[in-house]
Amino acid sequence: MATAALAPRVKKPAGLKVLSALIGLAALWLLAQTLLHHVGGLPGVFSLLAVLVMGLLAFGLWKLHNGSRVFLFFLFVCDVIGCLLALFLYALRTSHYRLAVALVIQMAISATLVWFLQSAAVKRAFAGRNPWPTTVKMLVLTVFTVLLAFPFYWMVIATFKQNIDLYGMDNNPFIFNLPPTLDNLRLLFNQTRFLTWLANTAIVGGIVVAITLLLAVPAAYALARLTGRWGERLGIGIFLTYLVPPTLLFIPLSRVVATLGLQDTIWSLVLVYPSITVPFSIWLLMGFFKSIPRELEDAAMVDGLTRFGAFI
Amino acid sequence: MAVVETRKLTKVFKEGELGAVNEVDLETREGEFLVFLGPSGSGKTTLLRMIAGLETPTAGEILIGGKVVNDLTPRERRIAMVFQSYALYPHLTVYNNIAFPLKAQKVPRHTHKEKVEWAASLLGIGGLLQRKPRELSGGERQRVALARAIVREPSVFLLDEPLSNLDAKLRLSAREELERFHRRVGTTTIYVTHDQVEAMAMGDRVMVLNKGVVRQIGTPKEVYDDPADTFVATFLGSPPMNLIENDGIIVGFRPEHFRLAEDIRESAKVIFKFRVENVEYLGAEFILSGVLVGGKADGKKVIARLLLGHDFEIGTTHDFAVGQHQLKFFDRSTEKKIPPRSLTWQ
Amino acid sequence: MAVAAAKLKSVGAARSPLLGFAMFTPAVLYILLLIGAPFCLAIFYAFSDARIGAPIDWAHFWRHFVGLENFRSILQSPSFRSALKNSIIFTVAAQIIVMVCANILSIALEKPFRGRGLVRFLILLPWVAPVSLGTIGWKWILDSIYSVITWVLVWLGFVNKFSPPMWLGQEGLAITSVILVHCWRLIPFSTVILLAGRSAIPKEIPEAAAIDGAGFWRTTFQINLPIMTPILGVAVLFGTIFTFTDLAVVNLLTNGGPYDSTQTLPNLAFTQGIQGSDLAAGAAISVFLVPVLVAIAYLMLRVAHRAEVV
Repeated sequence: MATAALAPRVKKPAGLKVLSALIGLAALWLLAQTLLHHVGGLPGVFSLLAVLVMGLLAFGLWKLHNGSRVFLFFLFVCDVIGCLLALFLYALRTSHYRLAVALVIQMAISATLVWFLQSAAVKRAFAGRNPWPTTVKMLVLTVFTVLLAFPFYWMVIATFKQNIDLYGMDNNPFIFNLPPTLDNLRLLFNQTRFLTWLANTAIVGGIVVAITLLLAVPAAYALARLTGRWGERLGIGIFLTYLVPPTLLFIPLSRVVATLGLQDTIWSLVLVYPSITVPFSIWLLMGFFKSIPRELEDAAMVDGLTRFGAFI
Repeated sequence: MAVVETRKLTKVFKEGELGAVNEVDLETREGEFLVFLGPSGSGKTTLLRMIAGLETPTAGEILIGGKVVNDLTPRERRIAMVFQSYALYPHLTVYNNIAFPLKAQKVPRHTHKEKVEWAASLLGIGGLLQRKPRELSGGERQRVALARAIVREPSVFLLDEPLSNLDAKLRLSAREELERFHRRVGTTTIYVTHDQVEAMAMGDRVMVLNKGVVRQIGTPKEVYDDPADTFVATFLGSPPMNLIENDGIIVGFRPEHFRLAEDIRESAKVIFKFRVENVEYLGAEFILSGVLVGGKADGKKVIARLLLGHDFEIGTTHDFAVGQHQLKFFDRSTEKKIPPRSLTWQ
Repeated sequence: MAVAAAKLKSVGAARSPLLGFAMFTPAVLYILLLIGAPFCLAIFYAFSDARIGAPIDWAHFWRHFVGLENFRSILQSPSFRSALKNSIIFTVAAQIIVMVCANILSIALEKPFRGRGLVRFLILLPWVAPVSLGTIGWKWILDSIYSVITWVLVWLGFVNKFSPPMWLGQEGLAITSVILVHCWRLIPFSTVILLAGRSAIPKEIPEAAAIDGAGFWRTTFQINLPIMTPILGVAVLFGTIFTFTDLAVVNLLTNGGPYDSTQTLPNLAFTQGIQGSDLAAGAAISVFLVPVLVAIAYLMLRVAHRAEVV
């Protein structure tokens, strides 16, 4: 009665078996090359990773795993696009005709494989799922992720790069041309007051959070529970203060801070930061408190707590 | 008008676990109103969604009008579906809601107005065309959903529990409207529900499902009077059929057939001593629950359903009986129905 | 039991207005003192002759009034006109780009897939990182000589190694760079908001559209986006505020240069008001931010109200 339904046998197209076998063989060949030539260090790691990926792909294809097919599809499409770009942006402009021909041939191979993975027989083996939407999605995500995250990658690498490496105009900015160094970090910690600043940030941050919570949480609760027009109006009013930009306020605030004698101290920050965080927190928490059903508090009150106790 | 057929249709969500739908074979008849009935989790909605094209089957084939449609998108299958929440487009007026399928399928523009008005008049919502869904009542929304479904003249209608969002009073009138609608339009309809009263009232045939497996397909009379196994026997009918074991056989009888021995005129009947433990007066009938006393069935809990006219005290014991021909017999291990046989009860 | 409960409720309810009042008073007081009062002070400065170092004689504050003099002088300054124009252009351009990109990204991130957590994390980095961190990073990436982008373009053969583009030094390029850095920061924020908006669309509606025969484009533009309009509105309005009132990006990247081509109102206010010690001018410039913000506040309320109702 409780046996799992068996996935019925689907015919595997011959071409698919050939393809997965070829990829598996390529993985083995690369593995052999890496081991035989004792390729170590970073290139060695990359090549082993490539072996792993290819092995998984071959295996996945053999076992009719749809993810493998889609990923392979994606790789071939990227290959075609890459070849096209390289062809028109580089090879033809710099008249590297032999390179251009090689690119065209590679593009043709990839295109054929793309067509093959799309063909009716393969489609049926993979239960008719269309790989194009996923491929487009993966392309979009790759482009955006790279564009959005590469500054951070570059910043992290630059932190550990030697100055000569950074300032050499012919050096590839994305990799370490000279071995990485901790000199920059040493500079930061020893010759600047970085640790003090770090401590300041932590202290100010902590205190501001505490102040914000102390001010905003009770206020939000009171406003959320306070029925009637006044509660709504006050809530909206508070939200509007969030829209007043700091840039409008910093001029008078600088005078206020100076008058209070707080300039040049971190207490000026502690005083002023909540003006940004408190309205927003109140608005956010109001929405949250509104969503907690009143019955919970009523139940607590019936059980004997005061309203304040119920709030806690 | 088309016939929907599935062959060994299976859907497994998680490898190694029991499928949501397991090797279901079914074939509708032209123009019939077929009900998928089952408890939640029985796979009936998954089955419907696979027929619609919203889920891909793990195995098996789906045919509409004789053509295998596994690889076709929902749009290409020429089906229409009404969801439990009606899924009306909230930002469009009723007119545009109904016209949307026509626009999406590139039907010539000049015919839109005519078709929308035809569908609206069929469902009596001609006056609501300029309203938005949030201004409509539950019943009106159902009618708009039906109009949107019918405007393309599909070959099959799929309805996913459309009445469960309505309150009880409205449900009855909405049900009648659906029945009337089906009689007028005559399209093959598949209707999913967990409510056996709806299934019995509306279906030409009822398909009872449990745990992704079809237990029985038949007319309401067949599934009620001649259940194929204990699941169907207890799922249909409220209160459910009484089941007692005797000599390795499960015997069943419906509460309405369990009456005072003297009220049953046939001579071929089985008499039990019944001690009443609870009496519920429902206005139109009484529900008595209690236990059988003495004999092989001693201590078994049973329920009786009687019309007006009797007063029973809690704690009293009476002679109740069931007509022999109204007993149903099921095998104890397979739980499937077996031919009737005579048994001793003492 | 029921009577006791009712009594408790009435007692609790009767006491609550006082407690409620006590609960939100500190916050309201803080807001009045540190937002409301400075705001009024800013308006006052705009009509006065305040300077840093020349304290205001509060006992005779009316003597400091100069009427519309400050406004007249800034309106005549070309820096101001450039700043006003740029504030608007940057905001509008950035919003258009961000909306398109955030919509594309939110569609791509809607359905779960392996590694989605990592991708989301990477995509969120520009917004989550401090403004100054990201901006300084970009300052180097867009440096005239050492720019990463220049290096890639040289490698591809598009650009001559010996006359690289001055990303922050040439007018057109500088404007584009500032707008793009704003976009870089805002896309993650808007994507998150739009993702929430998309997940709020009941699953059955796109399914009904699919059954009705709508393909991807029709479903997106005629069904999903119209339903998401309130959320889109919220994202646009927040994004507008962040771009319009931004100081850090412009100040750190170009400080208004070259020749005021990337000058914006907040940056000008800071430069003249604090660094130039002319509080009155700074305040007057900042005052120009107010009408736009009031308009936005009004629109936000309308949009948020509609978002909750539907």
